[in-house]
Amino acid sequence: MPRPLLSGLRVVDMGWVWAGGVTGHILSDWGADVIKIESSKRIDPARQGRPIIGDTPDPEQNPMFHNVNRGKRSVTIDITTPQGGALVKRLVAVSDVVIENMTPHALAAAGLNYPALREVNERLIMVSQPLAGQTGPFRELRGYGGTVNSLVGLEFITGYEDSGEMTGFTHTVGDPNVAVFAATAVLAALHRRRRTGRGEYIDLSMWEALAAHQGFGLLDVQMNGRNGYLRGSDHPLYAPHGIYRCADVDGVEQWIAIVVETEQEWDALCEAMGRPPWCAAPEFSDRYQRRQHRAALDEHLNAWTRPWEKLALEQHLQQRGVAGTACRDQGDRYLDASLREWGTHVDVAHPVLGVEPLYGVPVRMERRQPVPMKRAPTLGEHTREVLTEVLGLTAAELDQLDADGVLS
Amino acid sequence: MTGEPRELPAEAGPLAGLRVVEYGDLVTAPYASKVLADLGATVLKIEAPRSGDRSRVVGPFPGDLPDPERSGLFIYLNAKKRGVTLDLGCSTGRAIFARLIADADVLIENVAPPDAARLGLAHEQVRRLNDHLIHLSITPFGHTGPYSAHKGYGLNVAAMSGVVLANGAPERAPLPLPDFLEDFFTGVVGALSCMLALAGTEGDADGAGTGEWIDLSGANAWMTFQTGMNVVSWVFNGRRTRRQGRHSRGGGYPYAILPCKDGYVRLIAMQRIEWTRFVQLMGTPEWSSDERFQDRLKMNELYADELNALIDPWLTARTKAELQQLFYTGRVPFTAVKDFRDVLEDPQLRARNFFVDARQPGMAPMWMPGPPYHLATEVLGPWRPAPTLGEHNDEVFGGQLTINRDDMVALEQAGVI
Repeated sequence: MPRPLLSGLRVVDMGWVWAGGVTGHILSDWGADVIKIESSKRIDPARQGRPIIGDTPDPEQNPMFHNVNRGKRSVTIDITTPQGGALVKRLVAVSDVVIENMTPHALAAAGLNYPALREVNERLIMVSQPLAGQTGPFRELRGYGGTVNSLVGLEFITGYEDSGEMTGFTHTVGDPNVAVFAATAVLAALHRRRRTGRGEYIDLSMWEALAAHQGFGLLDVQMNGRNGYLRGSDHPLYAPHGIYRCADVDGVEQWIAIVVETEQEWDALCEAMGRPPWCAAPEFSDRYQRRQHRAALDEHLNAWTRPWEKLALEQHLQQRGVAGTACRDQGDRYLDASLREWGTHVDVAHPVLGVEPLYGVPVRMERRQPVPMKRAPTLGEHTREVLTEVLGLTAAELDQLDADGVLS
Repeated sequence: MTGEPRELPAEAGPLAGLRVVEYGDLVTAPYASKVLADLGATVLKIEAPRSGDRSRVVGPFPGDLPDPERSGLFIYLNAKKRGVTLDLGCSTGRAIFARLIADADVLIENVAPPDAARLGLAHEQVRRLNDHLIHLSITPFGHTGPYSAHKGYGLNVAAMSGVVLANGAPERAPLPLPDFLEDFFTGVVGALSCMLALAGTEGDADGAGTGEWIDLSGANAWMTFQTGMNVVSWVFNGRRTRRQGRHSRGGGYPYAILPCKDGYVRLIAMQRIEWTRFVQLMGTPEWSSDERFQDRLKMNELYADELNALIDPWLTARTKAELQQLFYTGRVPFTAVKDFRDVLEDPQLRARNFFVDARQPGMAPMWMPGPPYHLATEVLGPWRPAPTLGEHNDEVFGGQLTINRDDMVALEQAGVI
């Protein structure tokens, strides 16, 4: 087994919920020793929620937690106690990276913010990635991934053009997004540290990390005064561009996405449909015409796709060079053996849930491999192991800390 | 607009000195290299002669007048880069390309798998030119894997990942994600991939010093990071993602978008205390003690319309900005639904100097989203204009590669550069 590319890197992970968990797992996927600091007094919300089995709340049953904390070691420390804070500082002193996403006052109150931690480790690389960042009049803002979609304009432009109905953008893109930005910055800072020995602190916000994707809309309002509008299925480059109804399966509706850019692709789509007469109409003669008449175009396409089984239609289109892709829900993806083979998800054994599929590592390298997927830790599973191995605490010292309520 | 956008000093950032070559089109690869440029890397962008990057035709354009040198999306994605034109479809072009990447650290491209070999960008070709290189290929479905032969755009990636099934109203068709969002996220994962590979080539792990090829697919980036954890809920509970529209059912009240005086607000409360605080903000109206309005699950299922109507007068008497402040001080996690002007004028983003003052020659000054990173030890480098098509041909081909003037003219006439 070759040494993985982040072997030897030690990370103190005080991230939580979704976004805060992902940054650390990206590093643990590639061999870093990620020590998750948590506490039974303030349980990670990702451990809470409806249990999968039975109806008694159980911190070991949340799939979000299992996905975003795989491969980490869990150490329970109550950081609000002076002894707990001191323990975290001792861990940070012998670590490379700290990750956290609490609202700014929390770590400052515990005496564990960057200025305090830098005192014990000058080479430290630390990233903070809460919703709003460390400064500014709304720095303590709390919210959910969905509220970030509102803050950056995504909800304002998501809806149907014809009815004017704003539908809300409910998928929380912002959580994994800020985490990927955070891990990128941490690794960039590590690159510099290897050359200069210099540490770094990165103040990142989920809000800004998602606002960074809104260049198009933010420039349109400045250039043309168009202050956002419902995008519907419209696209500046493609027509058709939309999601069309296929044959139901067991009473459940099914859909396929079809996108056409070039005239060659349009011709291939017409061919795939058996060249119905409407294809030749002047309003569909080129991309600009098709975009302009997209409502009529979508109606024709919907009528054609409706009886098709979605995967059969996908194959029919792809064989003819048309970008058609069936919409796959999680059941479709789980049951697709080829995706499993591709490593999109990996079955991992868990002591409470049995075997469960965790999502895989999307970064595929030719020469270097991520470490084999390991399950997420149970609450405090590695407390004694880590404090013994990393800090050299004796059994007597650990018992005393335990008795003092520090390790909970 | 008022307020001071940030002034940024020259060449800075943790990646200063890292040399990146990009042959990118539209969003994924150009955004990956932009993220690296924001962290200090030097990026050389190669475009096809004459047509260039397709984002040059996307816009938005000032006054809606198409102009390949004034496309907002292109300028946003390619600021700070130097740009040359080079035809990789001919052997002369590929020979020049070989010299460009001979001393580069990173190559980022997003050509479709069927085109890679023709352009000299298949990995076995690239490796022969520079075995220390980190080569990132970004495609919708990968160069390898079960769907590598499929054609796709951003929406196809979103379809395969299932994310679109969460978007839209239940009684209508699912909606695509707006404004290239799939490709933006895939681009950031691209930047991450390069940084991971860099740790591998530089660190003391096995294989240090040798290059890497990364086969990144948008579909896999989305099926893992974005929608990957949903699979468990299907395995154990049979739960499938369904779009909810603006009023989500199945959870506690409120989960809705409701009108206010000058727009809309987004109301999501996961915890009871958050609803309680909102009721207190409204001055604890009498109806709030109605026994029907105590169980938030029932409230959402049975009385959502009635409750919305009761809240309506309080919301519609207040502006987005007033409500945002009230929600914040009242510790209620609701928010205004911001339009793009609101985003540009947002007091939080302003206070953090998030926007940069972009001065693209020949265009009115614009504010662009700046790098989302605020570093403690230095200020990230300045905004610099995006290159016009072939702007740095002389500097790079003539200066760096010392191709003489006559040869340059011949290459130009042959359409190679």
